[in-house]
Amino acid sequence: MPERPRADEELNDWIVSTVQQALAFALSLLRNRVEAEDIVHDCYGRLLARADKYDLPRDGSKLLFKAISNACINATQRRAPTVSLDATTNSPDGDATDLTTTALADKLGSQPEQQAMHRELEAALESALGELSTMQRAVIELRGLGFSLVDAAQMLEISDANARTLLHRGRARLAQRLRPFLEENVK
Amino acid sequence: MSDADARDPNPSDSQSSGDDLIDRMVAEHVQRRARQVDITSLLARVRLSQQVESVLTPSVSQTTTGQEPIPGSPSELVLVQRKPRQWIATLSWPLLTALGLFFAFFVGHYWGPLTSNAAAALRDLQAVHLSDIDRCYRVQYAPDPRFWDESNRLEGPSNSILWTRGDRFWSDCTLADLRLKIGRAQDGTLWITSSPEKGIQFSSDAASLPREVSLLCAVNAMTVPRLVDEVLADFELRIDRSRSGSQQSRTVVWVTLKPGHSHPLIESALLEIDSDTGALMGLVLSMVRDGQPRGTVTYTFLEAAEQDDALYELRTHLNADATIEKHSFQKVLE
Repeated sequence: MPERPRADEELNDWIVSTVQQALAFALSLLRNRVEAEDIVHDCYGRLLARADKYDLPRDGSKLLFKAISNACINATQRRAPTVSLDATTNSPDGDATDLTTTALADKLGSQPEQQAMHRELEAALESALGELSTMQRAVIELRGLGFSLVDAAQMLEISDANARTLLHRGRARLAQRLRPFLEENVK
Repeated sequence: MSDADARDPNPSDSQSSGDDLIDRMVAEHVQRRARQVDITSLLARVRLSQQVESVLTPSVSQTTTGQEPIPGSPSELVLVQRKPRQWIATLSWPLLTALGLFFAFFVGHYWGPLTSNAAAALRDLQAVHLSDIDRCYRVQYAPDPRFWDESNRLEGPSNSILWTRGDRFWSDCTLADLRLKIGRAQDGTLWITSSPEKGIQFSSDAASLPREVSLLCAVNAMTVPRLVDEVLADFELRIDRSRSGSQQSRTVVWVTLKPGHSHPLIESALLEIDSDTGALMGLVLSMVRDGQPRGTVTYTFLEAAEQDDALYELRTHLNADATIEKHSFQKVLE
């Protein structure tokens, strides 16, 4: 059996290591499995076609998520012509101060009897993310995937300030949406 | 990674801690969601694109013959680095899909639910084309000018000569500066080649294919029951009209999406059937991709003439010392 070239193995490893997050991200932005898969497939295709120019195992993630972000945003704009970049809650303060850093996830997830509660929180969070504008969701989820705000701004081709505003308003919206749940369950 | 860049210039401590908590919850949520998403079909599609492109690039340096699965690999597929051929991911889809649908019309087992007259017409068409008669068609792809960058010749118009016999076919396609041959042999294997030195064969066993790969293989390998299930479930048929006059009598069948349904590749189709012979004389497919019209594929009957059996086999189109890659697929990353 022929030995697989190291470069191919690295490229293959890169695909395997990124594809789940990439598809999940596209799914979150598009809420449509077929569209999301087609877009992620196309984005991989474009990058892999330039694998001789880019060091994809090292730099590919940013390029991949940038391409996916743009394609998904374009798709959502085609679907809904007016998507405001500033769409946000009317109460941006969101009372995030009610939330503490008392390891909410740990608290909810550590006890078996709390697992159902944890699932409810997950559902509430997913629902709340779905109510954000596409750009807010993109910024927040890119941050959640480990990218810096500067990286997210570059990927979405917006200014750092705009990205910061989107992140702030998105957080506030999430805090507002999750507040009743959290107040009831985290004490 | 620091969160400092994401905070307000002068956040209160509680605001900052609240932001941290939201960020952490979102991070855990997106990671958990990513772990749950099924990537089987996507991963297979990405790898399949690489495989096809690599084979269609004669200058590829890494080749394998009779490639076997790699133990421990998440897939039997092996990624092969190749020269850029991005067009294959876009241009080939309409053509390959069109080829498959062409045969679906010939040998489809059923279309349901159907208008009875349309169903009867297609059953007759199916019977006629299951016979061992070689028929030749000209296949022309015209991209939608609104969505084709004319500077990219590789996504431009294409022409093919397609020979069919039963569920076998072979096609000589001209795509910009590339000459491509694709076919399905008697044993059911799909093959593709772009030069006499190299070809690729795909296993006809599609039972375990991921959905998207199954779709691609069904389209190309013409495993019709699967094609009907996967591709045409969202369509309905109707006879639009029959006409007669100085020309031959023709039956026209429309294939359109059922209300509320969508399809990633096909928007509608039109079949023109010779009412006397029952043979397909023309077929027009309106293609879509990413929700946008991509163009039209037109099939025009040219002739019925006997073809050598060997022309439906890959080996006939290759040199004696050519490399043939053989690939099959199994589910990846359960």
